[in-house]
Formats: sequence, C-alpha cells, structure tokens
Amino acid sequence: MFTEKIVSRQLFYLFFMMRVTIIISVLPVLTAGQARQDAWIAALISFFPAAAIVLIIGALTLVFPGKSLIQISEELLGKLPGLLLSVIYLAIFLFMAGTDLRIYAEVLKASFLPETPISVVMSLVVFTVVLAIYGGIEVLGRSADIIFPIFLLMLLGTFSPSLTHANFQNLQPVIAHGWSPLSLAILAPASIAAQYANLTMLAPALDQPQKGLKAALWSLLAATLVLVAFALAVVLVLGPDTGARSTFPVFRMIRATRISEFLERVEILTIFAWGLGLFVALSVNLYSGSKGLSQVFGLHDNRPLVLPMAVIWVVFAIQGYQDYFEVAQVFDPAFFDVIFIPTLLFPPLVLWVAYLYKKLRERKKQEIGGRK
Amino acid sequence: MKMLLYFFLTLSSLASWKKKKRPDCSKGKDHGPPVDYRDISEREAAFKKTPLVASLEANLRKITELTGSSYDLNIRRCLAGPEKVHAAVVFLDGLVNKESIDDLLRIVNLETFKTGIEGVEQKEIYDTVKRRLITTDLREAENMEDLYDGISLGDTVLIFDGTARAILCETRGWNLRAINEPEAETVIRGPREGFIESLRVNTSLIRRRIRSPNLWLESVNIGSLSKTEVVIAYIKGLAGEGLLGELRSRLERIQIDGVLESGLIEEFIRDAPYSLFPTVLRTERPDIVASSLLEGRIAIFTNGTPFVLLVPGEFAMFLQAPDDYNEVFPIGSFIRTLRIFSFLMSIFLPGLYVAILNYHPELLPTVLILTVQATREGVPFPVAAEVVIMELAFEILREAGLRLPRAIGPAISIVGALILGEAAIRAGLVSPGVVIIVALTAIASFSTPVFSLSISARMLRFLIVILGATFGFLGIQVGFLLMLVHLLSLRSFGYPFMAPYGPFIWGDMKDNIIRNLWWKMVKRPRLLGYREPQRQPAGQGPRLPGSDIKPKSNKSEGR
Repeated sequence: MFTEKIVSRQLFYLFFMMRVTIIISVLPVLTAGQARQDAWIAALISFFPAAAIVLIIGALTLVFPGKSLIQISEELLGKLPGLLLSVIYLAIFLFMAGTDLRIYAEVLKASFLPETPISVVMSLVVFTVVLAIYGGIEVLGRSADIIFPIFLLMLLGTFSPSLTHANFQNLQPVIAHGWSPLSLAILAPASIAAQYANLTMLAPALDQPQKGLKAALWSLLAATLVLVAFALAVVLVLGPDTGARSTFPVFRMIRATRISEFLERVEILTIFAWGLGLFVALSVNLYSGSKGLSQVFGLHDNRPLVLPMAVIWVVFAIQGYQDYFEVAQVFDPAFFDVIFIPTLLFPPLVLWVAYLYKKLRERKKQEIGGRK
Repeated sequence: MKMLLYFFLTLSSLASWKKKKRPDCSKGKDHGPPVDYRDISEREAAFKKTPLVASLEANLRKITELTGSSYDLNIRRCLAGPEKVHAAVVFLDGLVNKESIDDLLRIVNLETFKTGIEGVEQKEIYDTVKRRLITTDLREAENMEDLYDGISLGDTVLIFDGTARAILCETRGWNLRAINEPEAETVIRGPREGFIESLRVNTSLIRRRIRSPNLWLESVNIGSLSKTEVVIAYIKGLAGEGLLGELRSRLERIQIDGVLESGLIEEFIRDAPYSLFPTVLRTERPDIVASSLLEGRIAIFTNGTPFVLLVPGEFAMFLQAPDDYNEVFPIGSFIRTLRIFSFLMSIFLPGLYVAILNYHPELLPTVLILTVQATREGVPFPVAAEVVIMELAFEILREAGLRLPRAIGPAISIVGALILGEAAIRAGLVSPGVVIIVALTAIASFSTPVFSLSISARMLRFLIVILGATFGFLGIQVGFLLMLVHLLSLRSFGYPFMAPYGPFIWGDMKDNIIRNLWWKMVKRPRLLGYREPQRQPAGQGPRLPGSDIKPKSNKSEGR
C-alpha cells in the first residue's frame, strides 16, 4: 500500500479555508461581546490567544513528528488512559463538524431552500464529503489546491464591491470605552481556533511533519487579516449596531451592496465560497475523526469508518440543536470559553505534562546512571 | 455411360486443381481435407506445436491442412539448382507485392542454374539461396507458427525439399489509404498529416519527426487469433522506466482473441474503468504524439487503426490542441482559455439556467427575468423537463448526423435545427430561452478537441440539470464538488490525472491555462520529465541585433 501524503502548502490552504469560512459567516468579533466599531482591533488582537491555542496543540507534532495525538497519548499514558483521552478529543471533531454543518444548512434554509428538509440538504453535502474522504487525504489536499484560488476570488468578489458603500464615520470613536469591552470579542474568534485540533491528525500525513505547525500559524495569520478586513467592511457598510444585531453580518452587508443593476445580489458568491469552505472544513474534520477512531481501534484504514461516522454526524447536526438560535449559543462565551476550550485543551495539556514528567524522570535516571 | 460420368468427374477435379493451385500430392482424388471436428483452441494448440520437417510434400500438406486451402493461398512449385531440388513458394495473395515475388522466383529458378555457382546441391541450396536473396527483410521459420506468422503479415515463404526450415522474405505490399488530415482533429495551422490503418506507416510518421536513435519502438502481439501488432513508442532515457514497466505488464496481461481497435486496449489498461472521464488520450495526429513523446509520455500504436493511445493521460491534455502551440503566444493562450471556459460551460450552463429560473430568479436583472418568463408563457413543461427534452433531442440529432450517409447530412441538419427548433417554439412546446441555452451548450461542447472528453461532459450535463432542478445552486455546487473529487482521485498509470491543478504545480502552469512563450518553457513537465527537467537552455528570448546582453524580460528565467 502506498502512503498518502500532502504538503504543507495544502495544509495551509485547508486551515485557511476552514477558519475563514466559519469566522466570516458568524463574525463573532462583532456579534459576541461589545466591541462594536472596534471589532477589527479585536480581530487583530485575537491572533495572539488563537496562536497560543495552536501552539499548545501543534507543538506536540514537533515533539512527536509523524504521530497523531491518538498515538502520542497511547505512547505517553498507556493503553487505557490514552484511549480515554483520545475519546474526548474525537468528540471534539464530532462537535465541530456537526455545528458547522448545522450552521450551513440553516443559512441555506433561510436564504435559498426554505421548502427542502434540512436533513436532505445535509445528506447531500455530507455525501460529497464522504466521497472525498474515500479518495483519501491526498484527494483532500489536491481539492484544496483547486478550491483555494476559487475561494479567494469569491471572497474578493464579495469584499471589494462593499467598499463602494463604505462610510468611514462608522469607525469613530476608536476604543471609546477602554479595552474591557473588547475582551469577549477577542476570545470568541480565538476559541474557534479549536479547528486547529485537526493539526494533530493531519500533520502525520505531511511529507515533512515538522512543517505543519508553521503552515498552521501562517494560515492563522492570513485568516486573521481576512477577518480584520471583513470586520472593517461590515462596520463601514452597515454600522456597528446593525452589524452586531444581525445573525450573519457578512450576508447582511453583501445584500446592502449594489453597484449596478447587474451586480446586486452577489451574496450567491459568498454562499458558494462558503459552501466550498464548508466542504473543506467538514472533510478535514471527518478525516481526522475517522483516522483517529481507526487508530483507537487499531485499524489500518480509516475508510470503513467514514460512512457510519458521516451518518452519525448528520443525526447529531439535526438532533443536537433545536433551531438556529441554539446553534448561535454555541458561540456564547459562557459555553465556548468556559466549557469548550478547557475540554479542547485538556488532552494536549495532559500530554505535555506527561511528556515533561517523562523527560524529567529520564534526566534524573541519567544523572543517577552518571553517578554510578 | 459409366465411362462418361467418370470422365466428367476427372475433368471437374482437374479444373478445381488448376483453380486452387492445390499441391498435386492430392492427385485430384480427395476434395479437401476430411471433416475436422477439432475446435478452435485445439486447432490453435496443435498448430503451435507443429515443427517443420525435411520433406517438402509433408510441409505443404501441413500448410494446406492448416489453412484449409483457402482461396487466397498461393503455392508455386519450382525447381532449384542443377540437382533440381523441389522447392515451393507460399504466400497469401493480396498481402504481397507481386513484383517482389517475381524477383524471388527469378533468383530461385534462374540464379541457381547459373554455372560456376557453388553450393547448389540439395543440402546446401537452402543456404545458398538465403545468401543470394536480395529482399529487405529475411527471417527463418522452424515451425508452423512462425511460418504462418510471416505469411499472414505478407511475407513469402521459401521451402526446400530436404531442409526442415523455411525462409521468410519480406514482400509486403497492399493497398493503403492515403495520408490525409484526420477529419475529427482538424487544425488551422499545423501539419495536415494523420495516421492511417497501417502500423508501419504510422510509426514512420513519428520517426520522421523525431530522428533520434533514442526513439524506441517495442512490439508486442496481442490477440490469440488476430495477433495484432501493438507497438509501444517512447524516448529511451526520458520516459520513466517504472511507467514503461507498468505499461508492459498491463499489455502482457491482456488475453483476448482479437484486437480490432485501440479502444479495446484502452479499456484493458485504463485505471478507473467505471469513470466517465477518459484517462488515456487517443489521437490521430502525429504531431500530438511526437510532442507527447518529447514530454516523456508513451504512445501505443495498434495495427489496423489510425488511433494512437497516449499514456499517462492528463486532464489538461484533453483540452489542448496543436493550434495553441502553433499560433503565437497571445492567440494560443486566448484560444486555450476560451476552450477551458467553454468546456465548463458545456457542463454547467443548462444546470445553471434551470437553477436560476427555479430557485434564484432574483439573481437576474428584473427586465431580463421578465422577458424570459414572458417567453415561457404557455409552455406546458417545467424548465428542467424542457431542458432535458431539448438536450436529448440534440444528442439524438448529433448521433444521427454521425451515422447518416454524407449526402443526407445537410438535410438532417435542416430538419433538426430549423424545422424542429422553430416548430417546437411556434407550437409553444419549448421556450426560446431553452433553445438558446441548448444551442450554446452544444456549440461549447464541440470546442472540446477530444471527443471522448466532450461526450463525458455531455453525460455529466444531465446530472447537473437534475441536481440544479432539485437543489438550485447548492445542487450545482455539490455537482461541481463531486466532479472535482472524482477527477482528483483519478490516476493514470500512477500519475495524478489533474496534475498541474491538483496537486498544484506552479512550474507546469506555463502550459495549462495559458500557453507561455516557447522560449520560456524551459522545463519539462515536472512529474513526467523528472529524469531530465531541463528542456532547453534559458534566456533564449529576443535580443537586440548584435548584442549579447539579455533584455530585461528574461531575467526571471530558469527558476
């Protein structure tokens, strides 16, 4: 069997599209917290806590190159405790993918397909994702290669027309109420960096696993810049109040955009770009989830697990939330920062502690050995 | 009375002897061999084992037994040398050049009687004749299999009494079609030569283009009964050895009775047999084959067909035409980009139309959507059904146009295009918008240079229409992603099918969406030409007369 490999460029594309998709659609810098017209500053600062999360998770791939988190935890903690830790981690993939899927389905339902049952829409999307994962991580990497330029073009196509409606008065005053209102707005996009949990599963598939972290950090930076741009654009076009009150501020902004008779309603471009990004996000999560599960069970191949997992995902995405408002509460700091982020960081932190403890013991042993 | 009957019988058998030129060993007694109940595989097996023997009569009997004294089998008996050694010349009429046979007989009959020639005794005459023969290609056969192989290729066999071997002289000569421009692959600028049905001529067309001794041609015979000659052509040292080995093993694996077209070989060696997309390129143009060989690909020639296969196939190849390279850079790039665009259009346009009209009418300007809706007034079908019906009608028209005798072709196009389209609109069965869309799509699909790709686009189109009709833009997007994922998971002989796009290879983009200047295409395609990436020295751009200083524009060369 040949080994499937991707390169760090493809990893960069994957993470960039994943992050931009979610972060742009909900725009939590504006909707969560009280940042208002200073959302773009919050977006800029959010890079640092997000980078910290990425580092905590991703640095493991430097210490154990070529190993996934599941394998690392088994190595450091032993069979059973490692397995328990892995299950927590795998649940995160399920949670993220289910939430992403539900948000996307809700947007489609709200804007284009009010009559179509949400389960059908979800199944259709997940079906393509399943096929991609059957193709393997290589197919995923290559589709990132092709989708990325399309994605970028569509972002530009939605972003640039909005500038014609910009009202720079909306940005004033800058940081009028001090830094404290910004704190929540900073934490929300930072915690979406949970997506980088996928790094521990994707890095082993890289041809040079130690380059994964670098690519991930670069993608974080690029996505932050896009976030800053869109936060600015929304505030400039809609104003801080309308922007903060709408569920999908970017769509709202694009709907307000109109250049000529022919160029109104460009939000279809955003939906399309978002669909592409979501495809990537779901595929990566499904890959990580199924790969992780197959490693837990000691299977050689993750493909047999893909279809059953996908079905469970659709069920979770439908049953997990009553309606969109419940989905939106996921981004509520009370849940996201208090429950989700600690859960996410628990496994890598445990692993770090275990690793350092092991290192220390080894050093002591060596010292003892040296004395003898 | 009885005498008279006997006389007639003898006469008729004599007549038949003359007509069929059967060996006189039969003495006119038996009419053909006794009824033979062996089946084809037994016959083939028996034939393979049979060696030649030292007796001429026995050998000839075996030949007639083998071929059932077919009417085109010619056996000319003659005597050679002063010892009058019995000899025979055997060939299949229609496959040989009569003049070379005359030459052959002259040598055997006359030369051996000349005085002062040594070695004309029965034991040596075989070698003497062999030495004196002046045909281009000479081989020897020691068993019936080799012997018949030669005869069926148009060789002439010389058998001497007393020698258990036979000489095979190359006397091929049959009528060939003239080398014409292939009708399915025409160019505006470029060579007008196309392959024909003869393998030798086809390979010679390549030889004439690439005169390096490193152009290697390997031959295999495929087909237990047809024994079709299949030739692998490649440039030794440029084509990957792994790829060659894989191709050879795939060809050797084929076990079939007859290969009548290269399409059969294509299906045997393809990677994804159920895929809509062709992963092996076929062409009738020697210039395409030559340029692919220079990139490190391998060509597969099949005897009896003008279609040559090229492996590994890449998606981008299917959208390239020789014109791109022969026209100057801006024109070549423009037409190629146009072609890629129209390929996408030929897949997605009807689906988009259906999706927009059904789900997203707000995307169109109000005036336009009102116009379109007004023309749909009174049309009894939903848009999707309308589109599918018209597309189907067009596909039938296209297929019928292909099969029709050339003289009726224009009539059909008048009936199809004018009467059917016009009357359908007048009758209010379809709206003009749909006819415009179908016509646009049809024109777009004909701009794809390779038929096998345009037909797969046509089939996908129906899927996209259905997806667009049920899910709107989401369906189109899902269709796009499905197609993308499928294309990306395809491999042709281990090489990624979508190569320069995904995996993305920046160095190869010079020859994909656009066609860069020739002197800027310094490197070979990265995956194929890895053995020697440099194709030509960098910096060959235009210079000022008499100056050796490079102009500024090619400083970026050689990256």
